[in-house]
Amino acid sequence: MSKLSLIQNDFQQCVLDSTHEIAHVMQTKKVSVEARMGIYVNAYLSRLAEALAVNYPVLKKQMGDEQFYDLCFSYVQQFPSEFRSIRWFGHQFPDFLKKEKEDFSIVELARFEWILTEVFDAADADAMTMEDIAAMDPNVWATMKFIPHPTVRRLNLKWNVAALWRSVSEETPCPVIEKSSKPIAWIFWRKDKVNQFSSMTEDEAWAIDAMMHGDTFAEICEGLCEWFSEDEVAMRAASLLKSWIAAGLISRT
Amino acid sequence: MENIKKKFLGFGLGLRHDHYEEILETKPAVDWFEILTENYLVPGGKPLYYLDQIRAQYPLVMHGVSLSIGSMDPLDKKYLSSVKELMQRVEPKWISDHLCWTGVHGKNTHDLLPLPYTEEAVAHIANRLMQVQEFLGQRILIENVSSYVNFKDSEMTEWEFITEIATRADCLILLDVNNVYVSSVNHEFSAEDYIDYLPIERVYQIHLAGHSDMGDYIIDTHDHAIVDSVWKLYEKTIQRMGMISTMIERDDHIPPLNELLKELNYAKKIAKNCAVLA
Ligand SMILES: [Fe+2]
Repeated sequence: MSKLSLIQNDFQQCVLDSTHEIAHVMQTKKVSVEARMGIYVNAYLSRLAEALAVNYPVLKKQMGDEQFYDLCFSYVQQFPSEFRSIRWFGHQFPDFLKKEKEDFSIVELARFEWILTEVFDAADADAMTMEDIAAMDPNVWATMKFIPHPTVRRLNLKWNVAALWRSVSEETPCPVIEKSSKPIAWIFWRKDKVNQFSSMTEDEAWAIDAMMHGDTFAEICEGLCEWFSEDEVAMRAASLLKSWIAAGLISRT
Repeated sequence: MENIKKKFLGFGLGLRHDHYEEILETKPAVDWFEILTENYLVPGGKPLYYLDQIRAQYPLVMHGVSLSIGSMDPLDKKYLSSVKELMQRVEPKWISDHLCWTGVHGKNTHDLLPLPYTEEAVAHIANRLMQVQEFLGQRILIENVSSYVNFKDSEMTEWEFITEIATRADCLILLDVNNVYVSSVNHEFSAEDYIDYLPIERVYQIHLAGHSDMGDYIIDTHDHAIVDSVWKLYEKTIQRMGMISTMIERDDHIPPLNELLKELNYAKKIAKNCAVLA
């Protein structure tokens, strides 16, 4: 093995695990090898933990610094970054918390915050407008596949973490953390550069998911029959579509 | 390969998101901004929106942290392609990264790790720089980093190391005056010797920054105002090299824009005085 390889292996081992004794670094009178390597070890841990703090600010507030950073440090140890950009480093944090924490509301809060980071810098696209719809040939309606805006994300949540997130970020009194009897469907997206999220009824969530899977408008109408009678269903589908367009959830094709 | 001209861009600042709105509203008298490449390697949203807005009004240069030019891992072609794509969007005056490595075996420490100053490392890095420059279609600047260790295997000084690499790869240099100072204290060498040795024609840009003095050593935190000894070293640099595009780099504890503008004006004053004397 080349000398440069040996040095880099040795050095990296020490940065990732400070108990590793480094062989290639020179001792000086003024500053010990341990102190010198300690600068790299600390910089590494604190930079990555800070990246998590940026991605999970409400989680951090909710847990308190001590508990949050303890978890960060063990995450850094278990999942060293393999990304070029530190922005993606925290993507496994919710799954990691699931293994570490009994409290599932914490895991859901983490998922919620990670999705917000995804929505924040997801790809741009023009949203479809009512004028676009009006200009469409009525004959294509049945086979029409609407394309969700690239910022759209979905999550089903059992805990009231959305309310918690809002209260912590707006610094209003926190709600009592509670679990609903059934998971609630949430949708996330970006409109005018600002992150949005909203809960949905069961039928709307089903319809959105169907659209995201590439179902045609006719197929979506058909599926909605589970909740609506045949004469109501067209109305419901039309009103959903209208509200999605108003919200900017559909891409212009 | 496109020949990047050594152009005096004037006095710039590192672009930080805390200042986006203020820059667009007040249009401060900054000659150019340096962007952190990785911050804009995202699909869309606010970062790219503000980037385009600011680009429309100011010249930009791109500064990366993930090239890992010194690593024994293969060059990351996917990363390089995304950098190239961003270059097409931004049309920067030039692009830079650091003379360091950030990890091996597919790991990234997201830190600018030190290199042994050996012939082996010179050959390895010069060769990779040539590949990168070939791929990007232009020469790039490499920046000296602050370091806290010296390797037993080193065969030359840091200034000989960076100069040899730049010469062999025919690349350019981003001189971080603060980093020279930090390393000179940490490794007890003469910062002046360093500045005196560098090939002037290759030094296209200067970084100025603050650091944390720990007594026996200095940590380059880029989170403080610039100290007197760094100003002095900057003065010496300009006296020797003439006017060089200079910017202030603040990575943490980002102060109000006004404060940075004051620091930048101070740099301008020093440089202009030196240039008159030179
Ligand atoms: Fe720098």
